[in-house]
Amino acid sequence: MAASHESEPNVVTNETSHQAVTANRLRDGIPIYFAGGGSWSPNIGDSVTAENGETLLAEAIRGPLPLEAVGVYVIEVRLAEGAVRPIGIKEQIRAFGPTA
Amino acid sequence: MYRYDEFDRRFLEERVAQYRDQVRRRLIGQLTEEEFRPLRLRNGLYLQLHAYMYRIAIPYGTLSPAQLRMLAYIARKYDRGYGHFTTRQNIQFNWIKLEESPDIMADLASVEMHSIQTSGNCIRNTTSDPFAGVADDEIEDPRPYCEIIRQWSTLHPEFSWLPRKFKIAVSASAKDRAAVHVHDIGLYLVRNAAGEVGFQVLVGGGLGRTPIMAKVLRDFLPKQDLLSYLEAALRVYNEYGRRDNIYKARIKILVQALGIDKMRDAVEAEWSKMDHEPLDLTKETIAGIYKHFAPPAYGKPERDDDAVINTAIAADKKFSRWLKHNVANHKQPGYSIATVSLKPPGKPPGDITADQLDLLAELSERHGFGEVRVTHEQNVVFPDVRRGDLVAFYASLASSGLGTANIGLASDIIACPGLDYCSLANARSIPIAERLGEHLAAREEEIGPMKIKISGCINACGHHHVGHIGILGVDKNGEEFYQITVGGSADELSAVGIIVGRAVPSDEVNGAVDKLLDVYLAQRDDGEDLPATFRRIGMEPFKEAVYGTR
Ligand code: SF4
Repeated sequence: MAASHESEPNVVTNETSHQAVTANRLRDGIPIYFAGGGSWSPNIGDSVTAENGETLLAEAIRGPLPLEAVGVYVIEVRLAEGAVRPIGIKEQIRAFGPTA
Repeated sequence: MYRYDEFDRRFLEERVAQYRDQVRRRLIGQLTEEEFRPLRLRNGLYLQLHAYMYRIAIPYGTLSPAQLRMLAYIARKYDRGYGHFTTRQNIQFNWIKLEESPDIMADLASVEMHSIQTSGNCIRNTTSDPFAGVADDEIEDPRPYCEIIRQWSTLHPEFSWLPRKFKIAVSASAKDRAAVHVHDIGLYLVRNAAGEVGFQVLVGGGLGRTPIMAKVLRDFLPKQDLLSYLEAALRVYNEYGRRDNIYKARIKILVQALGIDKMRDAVEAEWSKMDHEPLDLTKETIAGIYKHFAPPAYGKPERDDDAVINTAIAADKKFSRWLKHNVANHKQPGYSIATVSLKPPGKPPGDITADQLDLLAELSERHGFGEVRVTHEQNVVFPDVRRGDLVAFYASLASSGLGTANIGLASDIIACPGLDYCSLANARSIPIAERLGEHLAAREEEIGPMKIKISGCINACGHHHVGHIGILGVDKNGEEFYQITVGGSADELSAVGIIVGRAVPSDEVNGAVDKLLDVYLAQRDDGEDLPATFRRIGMEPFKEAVYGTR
């Protein structure tokens, strides 16, 4: 939707990289990451990752309901020395905050 | 200032209660996001990258001390201690929690403010000249008409679901300080050959992916017909505006498709068959609203005002520079209009801290009649500062980081929030503005008047199309690049800037802008601003300077 300042979920699929699932937390809007077992974390390091994020996505939106996450989507990530790092400037800004 | 009446108060109380219940139901899962999203957007609450963003309307940019203090309170209590003034005389808070948003709405209502119609396909906040009522070149104060439009357009049942959002601006001076030409409807107060004051009505302006300057719909509209004519124009748009394609839904596309003559015929036909009477503005109605904007009790000029100022000019170069750039003539002898810059080089344009909001409230009481105006250029105007107070006023500002002397200069950059906050962005705006402002500050005195405007995507909230130099963030394979335009203008000679060449990476923006400015400085004639030089010499010298000869 143009200029509404709200974007549609952008599902990025790249079979060669790892993927994680993110959203914003309903009650306060902060970025959160699917940590498995129905739980979400504000820390990207807690993300569960998979080569195909669609399976994670399906698990993430199953609940428990009502979902504490809004606008759930898959992101590309990189695993570096055991840490999960987002790929792309937008996801880096979401994960680590404004740069200015 | 206009004060809410019983109707305003009641509708706001009802809205707060409705919204509180909607949020409650959303939080316990009784409403889905799909159901809730339009409800929160109608109340100005967006979901952005890091949190919810709350957009609050500041009707025609005017704020009282109580309102400034409430914004400071909101910044401290619900946000991270600051807010951001936008290019449409709104303020946005970037770190809001959904669960606290009904409390914010209630707090705002207590000072006669709200966030309703700051989103959605409805008539948005009506904007105006920040010098309204005090400009020395004004035909008549435009604020009463903005207030009349505010009352008419708030919760207007017929225009709550337009094809797309709708923005109106009103100005009354020969010098356009309200960017009237880039609005869906622009209104200039003008005098006709018989000496009567009425409106020139423009239609179909807008920026975004299709930048178009508004065209004249009617040369002269008597004041009493303002609302009925607006209603006719909105009806034509509501009926014929496209709803099948969001990118083609603004009224500018309808005007482009029909042509201005057919658009005019359609509006006049609608207008002629309408019953005008319920909407006619009688002299009494206008006078009733005018009372809220009556000039304050100005004092007589003091004999030693100029002596105080001249002594300060001689003693303090910084004051002298601030006086030159930030202070404008007032229509009342003995008073000045002072603009507080929210563009200290190296800082995010338009941001203001809670402490600064409190200080502005205090200064507006001490050095004015309790009123400030926010501008579409993201600064704050003090409309009534006694000339004799300017030295003390500046000293208070300077000691709080608000003494930047750059109004209308190269570091007075407009920038949208960009990718640091906005979920639609392609690239960051704020760091580009910070670096460029810092870089250009050293030479801005030599450059003179200069409008640089930056948007983080084609939606153009930073008005880049109408910057003398415009900068648009674009995404190239996941990397931030910046497309530069030259020759744009948002004033009465409005023009859309032209793209200079291929987009450059962020670390080349300062260099490219330097080269454009070098061409301008070398080629300008006396008194020419950059758009005038551009019109005279064309694109080639600018292009060659940035990209070299091919
Ligand atoms: S121009 Fe684009 S990036 Fe900037 S605030 Fe508007 S929608 Fe967001």
